[in-house]
Amino acid sequence: MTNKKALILGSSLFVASCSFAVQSSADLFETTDLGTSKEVKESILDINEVDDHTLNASPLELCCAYGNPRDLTKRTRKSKRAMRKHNRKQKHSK
Amino acid sequence: MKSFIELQKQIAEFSKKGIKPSVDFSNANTYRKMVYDNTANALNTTYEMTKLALGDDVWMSLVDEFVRNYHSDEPRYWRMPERLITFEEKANWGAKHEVPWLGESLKFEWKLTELFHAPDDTSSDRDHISIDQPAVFGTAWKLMSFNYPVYKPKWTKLSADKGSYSIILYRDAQTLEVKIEEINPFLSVLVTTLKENPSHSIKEILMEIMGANGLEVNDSVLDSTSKFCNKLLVFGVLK
Amino acid sequence: MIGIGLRREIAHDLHRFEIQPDFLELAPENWMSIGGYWGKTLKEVSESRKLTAHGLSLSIGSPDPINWGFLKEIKSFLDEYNIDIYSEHLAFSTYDNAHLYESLPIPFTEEAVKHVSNRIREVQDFIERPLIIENITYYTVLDSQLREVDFLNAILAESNCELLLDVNNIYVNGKNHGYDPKKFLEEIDTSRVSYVHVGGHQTLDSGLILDTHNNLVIDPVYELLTELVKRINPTTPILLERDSNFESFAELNTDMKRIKEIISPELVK
Repeated sequence: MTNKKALILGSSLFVASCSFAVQSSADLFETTDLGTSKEVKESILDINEVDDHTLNASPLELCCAYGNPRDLTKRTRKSKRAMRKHNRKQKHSK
Repeated sequence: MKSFIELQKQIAEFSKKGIKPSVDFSNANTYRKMVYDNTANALNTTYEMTKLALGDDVWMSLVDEFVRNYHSDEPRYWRMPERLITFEEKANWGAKHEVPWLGESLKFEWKLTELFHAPDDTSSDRDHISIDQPAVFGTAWKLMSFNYPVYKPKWTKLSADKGSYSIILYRDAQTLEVKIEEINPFLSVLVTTLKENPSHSIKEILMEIMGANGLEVNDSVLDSTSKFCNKLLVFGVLK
Repeated sequence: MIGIGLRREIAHDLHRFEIQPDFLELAPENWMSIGGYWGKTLKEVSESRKLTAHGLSLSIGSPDPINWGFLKEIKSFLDEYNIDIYSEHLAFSTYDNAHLYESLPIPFTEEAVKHVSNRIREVQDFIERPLIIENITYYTVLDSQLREVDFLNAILAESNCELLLDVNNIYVNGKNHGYDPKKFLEEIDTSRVSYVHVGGHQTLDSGLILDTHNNLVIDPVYELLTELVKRINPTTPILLERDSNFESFAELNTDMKRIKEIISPELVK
């Protein structure tokens, strides 16, 4: 006689969440192939081609390279000033 | 003269949190930008789908808070984005900003990255699974259950979409790509219960689950179970 | 020996180099315990070429304790791939046990020399191989009690470690902080140089030069390299640092050829 642990049955999830009518055992075991993560990503991002190098963030290589120079708060202030200047120019050119 | 520790503290705190140092460091802004950008770039790349779903403004606000407030103990840069999940949970950020699906979306996207790079599993010497045997699981896969369909394109992000969703992520042994299989709640429970009961046969567990839910076990069900388990063998979920 | 950084963008295009790299440098943090597609790639490239490791997260200059668990993983990785050369930035990248994911400068003080030298000795004992430290670019000076070259020489002497001399960094720091790169080269202890980096940089509108590794190496940097190779063992490995902007292999080939032209006369001697 095998010495087995008592079966842990986590079936409450199924009982609580099963809201579809089971027509047949085939329904119960039906699964859907959604494709590769690349295909899913392209579909969600609505783009034609996900860059393979950024796909799933191939381990990003932190080197000594400098990121895009940006300071969030400064750019916002600069952007607002730039936008006001642009709007003034637009107004005067009409 | 300030100690070297105090000087390092000042440049580090300025770079991470924007706390103005008492010493005038020339070009200190350069470090602030680099520290911010290196973290932001990693997050932007890992979480492209979540970023799109949140919108730029909300996403940038999340990233900004993470950079300022989270102490990442992860020395591997590529794994650092996982810490955003921990931050979101601790700060209850999604709930506070009325995006209750945020945590699930982050977990889904992170798992795609993590599984893609997961250590290799040993190959199976079986070409068929018998449901009279216990299930033996591989390592390069993950069962994920969600309240929101965060893995689907163009979902509404409204509460009307709230439900019970499950997927299996696995790494294809031939192509090494991560693939996604959507499963129903019953199969999610079956796989979870198989994993939690390694000393019971697949058939025993199936019969217990079906019995607890008032469902009949017949030859058709047994055949379907066998087909499903052999599909999991092909996926590398079972060995 | 001339090498190139192992970057995913070029990992499957190594055959396009007209001068084949003798070795490939990688950051161990990016590759350890990786399986799947990139794990397979690493195994393939390591079968045909020697690897060197240039770390990112050791944070040798930090007041935080050394992360021995992480260092144990590094050591296992170095042992698994027979990597003898393990270098790290003479910088700090953690504070209050939080990783900043950037190399920040250490103040050039006697106190820092002692602190860093102790840590280098401890790490070398643990990993059972030299820890080769690199002169980094720094954009702000935290304390100039010592000149940069004296700070470096003091650490090399006190810790008895080896030096990865980055000639582009000498140039960039010289321009940014107003010193003569050639004089720096004369004063640095070149007897401890066991590895060399050379790379490109970028100048901002403000005039600040950034160590970006995304451009061709400029002539003044090659002049420094030419001077350096006269002072060191000509078989010292030299790495062309290129981290991005890989669209043109022509640029990579140009730089590899220049480096070869510089070291060839010294090899013949």
